[in-house]
Amino acid sequence: MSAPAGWPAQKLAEFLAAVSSFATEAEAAAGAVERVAESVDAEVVAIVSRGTVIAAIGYPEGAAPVAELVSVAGGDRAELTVPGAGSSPAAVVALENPPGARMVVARSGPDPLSADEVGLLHAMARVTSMTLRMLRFLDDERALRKESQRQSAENAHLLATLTDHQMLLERLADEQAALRRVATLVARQPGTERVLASVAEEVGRLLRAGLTQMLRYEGTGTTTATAVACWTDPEVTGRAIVLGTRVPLERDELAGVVLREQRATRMNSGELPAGGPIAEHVHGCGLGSATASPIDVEGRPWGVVVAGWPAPEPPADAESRIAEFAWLVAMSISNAQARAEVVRLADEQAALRRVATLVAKGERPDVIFRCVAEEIARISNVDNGFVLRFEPDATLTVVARSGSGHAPVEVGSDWPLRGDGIAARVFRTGRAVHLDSRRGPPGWIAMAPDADFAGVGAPIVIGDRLWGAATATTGPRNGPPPADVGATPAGGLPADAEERIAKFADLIAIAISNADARAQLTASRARVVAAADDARRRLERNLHDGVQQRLVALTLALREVESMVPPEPRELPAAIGRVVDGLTGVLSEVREISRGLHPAILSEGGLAYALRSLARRSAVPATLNVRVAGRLPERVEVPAYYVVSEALTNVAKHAEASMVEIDVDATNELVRIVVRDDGVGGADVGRGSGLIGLVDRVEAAGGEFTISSPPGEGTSLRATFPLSPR
Amino acid sequence: MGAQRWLGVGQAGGAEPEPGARAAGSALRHADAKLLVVFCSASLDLPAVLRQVNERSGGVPLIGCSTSGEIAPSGPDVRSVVVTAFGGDGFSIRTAAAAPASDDLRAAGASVARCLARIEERPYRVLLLLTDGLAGDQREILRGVYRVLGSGVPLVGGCAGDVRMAQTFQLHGDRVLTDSVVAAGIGSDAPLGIGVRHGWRRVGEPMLVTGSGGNRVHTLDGQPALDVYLDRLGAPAAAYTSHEELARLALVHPLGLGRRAGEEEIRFIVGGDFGDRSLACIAEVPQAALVWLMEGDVESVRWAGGAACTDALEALGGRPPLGVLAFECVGRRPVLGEEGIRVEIDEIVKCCGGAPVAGCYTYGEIARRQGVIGFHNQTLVLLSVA
Repeated sequence: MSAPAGWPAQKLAEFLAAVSSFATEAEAAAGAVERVAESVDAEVVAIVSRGTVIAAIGYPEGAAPVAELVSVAGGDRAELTVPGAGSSPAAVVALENPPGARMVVARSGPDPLSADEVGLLHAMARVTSMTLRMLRFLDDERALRKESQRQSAENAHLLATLTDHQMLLERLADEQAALRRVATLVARQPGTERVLASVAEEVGRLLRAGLTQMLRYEGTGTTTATAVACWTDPEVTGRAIVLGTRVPLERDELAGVVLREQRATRMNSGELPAGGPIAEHVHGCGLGSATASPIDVEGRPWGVVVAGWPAPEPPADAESRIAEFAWLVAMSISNAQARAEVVRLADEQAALRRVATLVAKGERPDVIFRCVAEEIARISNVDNGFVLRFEPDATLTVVARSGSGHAPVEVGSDWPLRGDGIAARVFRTGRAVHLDSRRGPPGWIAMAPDADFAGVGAPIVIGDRLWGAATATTGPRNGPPPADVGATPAGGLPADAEERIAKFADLIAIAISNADARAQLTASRARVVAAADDARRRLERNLHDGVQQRLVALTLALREVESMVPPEPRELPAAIGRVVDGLTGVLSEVREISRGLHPAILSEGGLAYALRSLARRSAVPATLNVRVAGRLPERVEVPAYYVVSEALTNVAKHAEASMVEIDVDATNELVRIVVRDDGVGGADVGRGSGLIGLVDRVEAAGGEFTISSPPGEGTSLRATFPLSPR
Repeated sequence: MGAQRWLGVGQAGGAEPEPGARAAGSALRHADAKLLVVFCSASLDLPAVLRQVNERSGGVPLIGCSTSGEIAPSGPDVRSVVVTAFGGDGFSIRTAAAAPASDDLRAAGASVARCLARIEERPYRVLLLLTDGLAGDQREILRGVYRVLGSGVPLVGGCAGDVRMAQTFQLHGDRVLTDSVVAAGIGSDAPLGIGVRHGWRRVGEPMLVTGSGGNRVHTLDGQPALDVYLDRLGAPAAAYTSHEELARLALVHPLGLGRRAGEEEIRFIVGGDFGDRSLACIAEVPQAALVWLMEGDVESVRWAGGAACTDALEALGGRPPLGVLAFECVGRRPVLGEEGIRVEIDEIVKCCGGAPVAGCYTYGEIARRQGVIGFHNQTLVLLSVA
């Protein structure tokens, strides 16, 4: 065949186009051997360089016979085994590149390569060399460029890292500054509210949030939280949850998750709209994402920080950054709580002590009731304190009240124990009651119909009897509660309000039972004294009407006998005279005894008259000052008389006094008796003198008896009696 | 002479009930079948036929394709199923499929070629390929195969056909694929022979392909390809403007790509563009290739059948063939005519000494014994099995 003149050139051009289209040296080498094989229809073509096979075709994949090819390329052998065809003549053409490389070509069949084909082969080898060289350059350059790009990328990365670090440092500095501000504030120990407000704002500004909100849990096992601090970016359209609003967290997937699982959580734009009250509130403020982070105080969940962002995802590290602030909040709260706890305990103790002191002093229950009502009203948010007594006919009597007067309830008024009010609940259950929100038909307190208030009540139980209740209510809160978060309104009572009121209730119970016991004791003493007085009076009457009258009659009879007596014997009149004198003395003594038993003179002449008689007969010179107009009640006159009588007896027996003063005066309510001597002192009620009987007698009359008798400074007895019976 | 081998061929008409089962039933002469090769008319329900074959065979490894006509011992057909069974311990078989092939034809070729590496070592091997001729340049598939197998393994096969050159199907196991390459690596204790003939003759001097892209030839010797082609033929004026006239000429005047040994690789001309004066061929015509104008007639073309058969049988070293697989270009049918193709197959059967012949009409034929590539048109390719 005769090929057209342009064939080799055209073929070469095609070869060049094909081989130079490869991107890498290795691909070009593989492509070149394939194209050479096709161009001269040779089954085997290989490029061999320095003992290695750079590319080969015609052999099974990965099975080129390296040794045989190297041997042929090196000119050691002239024939090559063509797979499937056996030993065939091989042509070897040098390549300028790679250095020392050879192209080995073998084709089956008897025909050697034609001159045209050999020429073409050389040309293709040259093209291949140039291409491989060029590609090597390109590869090197590409590698360099790649390296350079890698380095630039690395530099850029380093730069970016530096920038990142710079930004991180700046961010950290901002964060540290914010933390320092809060920490400084915490160190100054301001009110917790201020710290919370400061943190809400710092977190919001630092993290570029649209809104921050802090909620506090209401106690262990709670599912409700109260809004305690908030901050909103001026550009955010929505409003934060009003402070003091109570929010239920049962269904909440944001703050609720923090409460339930004790971990931070986040929500993106897709999750917010149905994520429960808090998430929906954030969404409602026009924000796209949110995080919620726990605030743990002393290892216990205290509350949650919620932050909302306009972006559809919160910043990557928002939770960890908020945690730093939460820690400060916790520290502040912990400090404040410790302080507040001390103050609260001190207040509580002081209040209890005030009441307890009254109780211990045996103060009258009505005084104690009033005091308790006042103490109750001091509990935070309490507007009215009441002490109520339950009556057998299912009504209550208001025995004491205090407060601002929102409840138009008078002391002493009676109310039916109906409905669902606090007192009615205590009455029904016998237990303490805490109502967060009381609304609807008013109970015994006629609040405004729409008013909502909170209240607590604790039972007053004496022995096993429900005596009444101590209760407290907040002031009325008009209008509906904030509806946006399904919360209950603010201004509720502290969680421990019922506990505190219960302590007062216990004190009231003690006071009442003390008062009861004291009343019973007084009554019993009075009965004892009265019985004794009665016995004395009977004895005195018996003496007066019996012994005395008969003695008088005997004396008169003896006088008559004396007048009729003969002169002789001469001793007889004298003897009779002595008997008469003796009888007169006995009569006098009986009279004296009778007077001591029950001074008839007291019944007849009154206290002042009887005391004058006593003073006149006193062995120690006595001065009497009585400033009492008219008669006093007998229950006061009798013990008063005995006080003075016994005092004068003691002065005569023990005091070695030169004088004794007796002062009696009566004011509107009180009779006061003082007996003072200038004797040796040292008298003691406990030492078996008649003083103990005086104490009984005075106290049985509802009075008080005191004695002051320092050794060497005389003795002063003091007795007071209430004029009106208790 | 090694372990026992057998080859069975069965055919069933598309109108028969359960044609797949019937054809498979006839082919499965013994129980130890190793491979089924199925040629099924594209006009039949391919999934149903495949199911019938597999149910009948119990899942013997299978490759196959849709056809533009089937070849069976009884002659050519157009609506039938032809099943060839390779059986006996003398064969080792692996099959493979790659789809979609058009994404990377080379990779598809390389992928299926690797099945041969996994078969039991036998002295004789061949890779039987059935491809989708509409998926792109088939030579890329064969380059991929060659990269993996090298020159030691002969290649044989063809491109699946259909009724109107719209979509062809390949069969693999129980799957009906399109845009794919399926292959069976066959190892045998006895020789496997390949015959490739077309019977066309060169006319005049070769032309240099100075401009081509894919299957389209733009310029020959620097001139518009259509004009060069028609001028060389001394074509009547009508052929310069009429598709019918051009088609009539092209039918008997394909282009031939020069090869150093054996016959040219034929490129059948399917049409021309009267606007840009280019020629459209049935397969790629590489730039810088030398092409000849070819001519032929019923006699010369039919002669090819006998010659190919002789070539294929010679390769068996005197052993009698168990059977022959035939891949014949669909483009030869209009040249040979209905009677011509019948005579051609009769001659092949006669030449084989009565051994069964099975095959199909294809959109391109694959045969590589020597050299590289091995993609043909307007050609008859035979695989003889001893």
